[in-house]
Amino acid sequence: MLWGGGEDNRVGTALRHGIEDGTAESPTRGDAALVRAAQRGSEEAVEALFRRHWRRAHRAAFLIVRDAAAAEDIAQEGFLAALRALDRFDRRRPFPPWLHRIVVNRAIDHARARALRREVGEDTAGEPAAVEAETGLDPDLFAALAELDPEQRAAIVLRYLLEYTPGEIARLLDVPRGTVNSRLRRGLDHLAAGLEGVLR
Amino acid sequence: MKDREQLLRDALRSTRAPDEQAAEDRAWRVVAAATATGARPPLNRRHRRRAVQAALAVALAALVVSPAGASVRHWVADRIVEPGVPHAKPVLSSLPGDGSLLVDSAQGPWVVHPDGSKRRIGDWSEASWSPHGRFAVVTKGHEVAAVTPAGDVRWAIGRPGTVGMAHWNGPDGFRIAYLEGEDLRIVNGDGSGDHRISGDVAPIAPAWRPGPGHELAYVTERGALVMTVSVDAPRVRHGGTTGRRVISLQWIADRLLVTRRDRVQLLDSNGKPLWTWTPPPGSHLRSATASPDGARIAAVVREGRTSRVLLVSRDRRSRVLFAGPGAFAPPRWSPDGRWLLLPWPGADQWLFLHPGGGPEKLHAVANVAAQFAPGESTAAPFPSVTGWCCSR
Repeated sequence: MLWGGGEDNRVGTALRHGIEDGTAESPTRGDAALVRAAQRGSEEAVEALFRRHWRRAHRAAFLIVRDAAAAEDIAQEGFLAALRALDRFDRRRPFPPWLHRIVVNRAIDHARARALRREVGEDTAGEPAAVEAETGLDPDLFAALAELDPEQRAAIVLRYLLEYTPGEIARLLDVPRGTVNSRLRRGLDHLAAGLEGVLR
Repeated sequence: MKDREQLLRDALRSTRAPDEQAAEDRAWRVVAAATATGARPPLNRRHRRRAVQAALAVALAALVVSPAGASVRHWVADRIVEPGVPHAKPVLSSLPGDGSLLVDSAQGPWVVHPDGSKRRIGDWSEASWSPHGRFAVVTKGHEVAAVTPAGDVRWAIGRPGTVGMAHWNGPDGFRIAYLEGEDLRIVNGDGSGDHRISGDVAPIAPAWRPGPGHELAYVTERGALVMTVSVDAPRVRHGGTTGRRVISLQWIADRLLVTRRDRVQLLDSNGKPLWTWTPPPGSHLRSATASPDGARIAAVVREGRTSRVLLVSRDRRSRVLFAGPGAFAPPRWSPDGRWLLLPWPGADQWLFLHPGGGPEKLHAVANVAAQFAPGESTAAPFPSVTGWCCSR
């Protein structure tokens, strides 16, 4: 029976409430039950974790690498890596920072490698109009994001999309908090021109 | 008026990734398949899964080298989204061929010996073998250095800019080329004589032409191919315009293999195309690597969510060596050309393929990332194989 046992009932609760509206149960509390069930082999719990966290991880990867195919690969491989290492995951800790640490660091590595080895003449970002149509992101802001280095983009994405504090970002990226503050400040300054487009 | 932080928060939170729902569905199919055959299956499914895994193992192995199995191969790749070969060895206990691997990981480069033992050679970012594998040239940040396979630093130089893509020439090993930003620089094999050769160089690894002439091929930022520049006495020969999307350069004797997204070309020493191979319609090249004898090319192509490794011969005929979901990293030939190491990041596996072997010639090793991140409590990035050198 899918939701027959006590453990599965908690998974079911998380599935029904945590995913659908995020209000009846705190996401972290729901995640803990899902992680526990996933560690015991529940495929339903794995799907619940995936559906709950995929979209934000995928969007974060896309904003850092700015390449749709690469972002999909990075988010997917990040999930697989997180699931493979689930046995080592401490359930007392929240799941999203653990997943985001994997995905964002992979995205930074990819963006760095691409910057170093980028193919001559290739523009993966696409036409601004197409970017806006596909992503809903203002093309000026997208272009301004592209001019940041990968570490700055990652800090901006962690702060303003995933809503981590600078201290949490420092722990996720394994850098001093002052470095995070500096990346955020410089990133914001640089994005100011792009944000003018958002204001219009 | 909202402050700029709130504006940015609103803008990013309303952003979608391209093709978002389809991407989610594709990713879930892969993740679900991985979970269904993963290490924590529900007890009541275990026996059925073992049977499926055994059947898959036989089917995949049989398909690896059988020319007649091409259509079935595609079926396997497209329908079965199993990310990884079943029954992969849990650890790398030996290499199937002679020589040692050089592997870049988040903790630094590792040398992997034929018996599977490995040693980390510092916390450098990138490493590349010397022509006979007695040293590696390594880089990190502003530093270029030569180290032994035991990790002892023989010399190091610092540069104001960020350095990378260092490569040793062969066969004499007297010169090393590396990039500092957009500058191409040369340093002698003993660390002396560091100097700039050219600016405006594209971030694509320069390729040393084999032989005593110390000649390099590289690509400029504007897409021009410089066929050869003698680094000892400036003598430049231009090879024309490469156009867009150059992925890599590799010399095969006195001919240059230029890999782009849409084709692989072999150029003579004057830049004249002698041979061209294009990937199957609808697919894009991700990498192409010539075997040590230059007779075959291992090409990785991507079509949608499926990657394939094709073995391409001089007569332009190709056959599928392996296919699977997700991305494949560039494969590496063993020094004797008998084995091909295919890194598969999405499956966390290395596949050792034997292009000339029978159905049994597929060795898979799982848990690759963790093996190059001992002591890490979180999932480690998948490492890059940078070289397989050399037969003793």
